[in-house]
Amino acid sequence: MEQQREKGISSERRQRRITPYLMLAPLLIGLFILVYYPLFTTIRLSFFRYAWNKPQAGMKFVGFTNYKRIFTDGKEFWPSMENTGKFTAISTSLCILIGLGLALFVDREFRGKTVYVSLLLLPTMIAPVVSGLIWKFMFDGLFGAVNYFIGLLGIEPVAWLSSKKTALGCVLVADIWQYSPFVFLVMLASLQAIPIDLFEAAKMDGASGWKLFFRLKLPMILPQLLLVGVIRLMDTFRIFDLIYLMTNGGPAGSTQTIGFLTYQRTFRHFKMGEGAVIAFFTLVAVLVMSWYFIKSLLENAKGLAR
Amino acid sequence: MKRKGTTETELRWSRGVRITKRTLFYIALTIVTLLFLMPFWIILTTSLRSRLETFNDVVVLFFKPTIEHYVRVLAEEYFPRYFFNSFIIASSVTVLVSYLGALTAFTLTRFLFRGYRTVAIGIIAARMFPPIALLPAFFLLASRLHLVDTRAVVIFAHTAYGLPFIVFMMLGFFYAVPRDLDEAARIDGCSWFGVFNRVLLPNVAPGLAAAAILSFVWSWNEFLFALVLTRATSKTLPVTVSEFLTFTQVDWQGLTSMGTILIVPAVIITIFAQKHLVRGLTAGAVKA
Repeated sequence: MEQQREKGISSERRQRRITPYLMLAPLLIGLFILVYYPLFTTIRLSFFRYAWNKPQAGMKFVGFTNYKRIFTDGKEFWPSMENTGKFTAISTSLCILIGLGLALFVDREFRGKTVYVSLLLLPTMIAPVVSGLIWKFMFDGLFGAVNYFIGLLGIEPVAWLSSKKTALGCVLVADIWQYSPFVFLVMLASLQAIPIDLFEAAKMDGASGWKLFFRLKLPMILPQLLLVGVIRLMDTFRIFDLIYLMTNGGPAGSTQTIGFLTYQRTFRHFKMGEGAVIAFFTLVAVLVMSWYFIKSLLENAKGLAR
Repeated sequence: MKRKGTTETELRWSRGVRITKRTLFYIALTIVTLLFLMPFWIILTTSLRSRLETFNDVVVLFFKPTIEHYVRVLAEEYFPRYFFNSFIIASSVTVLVSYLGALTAFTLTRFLFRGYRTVAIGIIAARMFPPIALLPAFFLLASRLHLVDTRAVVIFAHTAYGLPFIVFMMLGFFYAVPRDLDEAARIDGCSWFGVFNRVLLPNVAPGLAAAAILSFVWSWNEFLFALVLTRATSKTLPVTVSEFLTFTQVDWQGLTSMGTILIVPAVIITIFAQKHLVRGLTAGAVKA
């Protein structure tokens, strides 16, 4: 009897030790093969010359040649960095401004709230391909609704997507339209999570309007605001779909971004090594930007398994 | 008498102010919502018009709707095949991601084990890596294994890159289930897998619903992996649409019909499962 119970306890301990590894195995093996192994390959590839359409030519070690070529490339790499930086800065800040403003506006009790919130969320839920299709059509020179509306104001039609001055702005509109509702959603949820008695206390102190926002709401939602800002920052920095669909990097490279350049070098020019350098650079840049995100998630994860 | 009169007027006055404010609020909110929805209206009406003549036609309110463009698109030989591909891929990804995401979240909330920190960082970092940066190497791996243009490789890719987010989303749901529940089941002789399958899963049903919805929509919408990893056999709908969109002579009416078909699942899900979805989308971000 005594022996049996002891046996039971030790087998329970053994199970507690082994089970987590068994349960994590599928995810860990999957991530290892599909995410971490490619990561390793990317770094390795960046030191080689390799064309995937001509595998018989083989891989040739070239040291830092690819790096030198990319980082001294003033024609494509640095202009596309500039485009990416501009795009990311404008899109992220406008998404936050619109999303937060909308959330503050909707954060009250009224009839039909769920319907309005669902409708406002729609742009975030649809495929980027369709959002690219929609905005390419909206900015179309001949059938585009944008030209129709400015025509009502007496403005001549503009070839939005084929002009160097306006093309990047068009993609920006599409991006902001699609992702400001995401910011809106996260901000609305965090505003609604502020305990109601805090409002009572603030109102007793006579705070209202802007004062209420800066003294109470903003400090309470600041962590989530930063978080959603970082998410937008890193997801916008790698923008590819909308560029590919709406402008294909053109006209004259004016909408070339770092994500699109990676794709172009690798899959259109077959220069795997150079593509890998840009890819690795993007990865490091995104990791640096998302440091805050990683840190806060780690702090969160620590408390979970008690 | 006189005093009462003034209060009544005051009351009426303040009620009037309240109603006016409310009406103005509804008007403003409706205008903003319509602004966000206008692009949808434009592609829907374009797909339903018989012919597009000038750009003035695009915003016309009244016209005789026709489904001829839908019929035309659906009758193309490729369309049903690629629709089926999209559906099979998205469904498989949904099952894999929801189950594995829940299992991983369960493990991370129930066990402290050697290497916990490393595993946690490994999963978070996988969400950070931009897919475009890993794609060249991923493509190379797939082509060496002769998996390019199979549905399986797209399923693998979507599962691996969709899982980390779902894991973090599920953590909160599992954390909310009391530990006594699994201890009790353990004493009754359940294995840990039994505890997970029979006790925990039913208890996190809302989280599981959110995970399923989000992973379906993510895989259904995903473009980059599908673009690079598929060819004629296993192409998905977003890739099909993109091909027609990059033509120089764009067939806007066929395209807007395809686009409308492509967004129908997401729209239905957003409207009917909004509560689960909102909980799911915000759980990760708000709690972090």
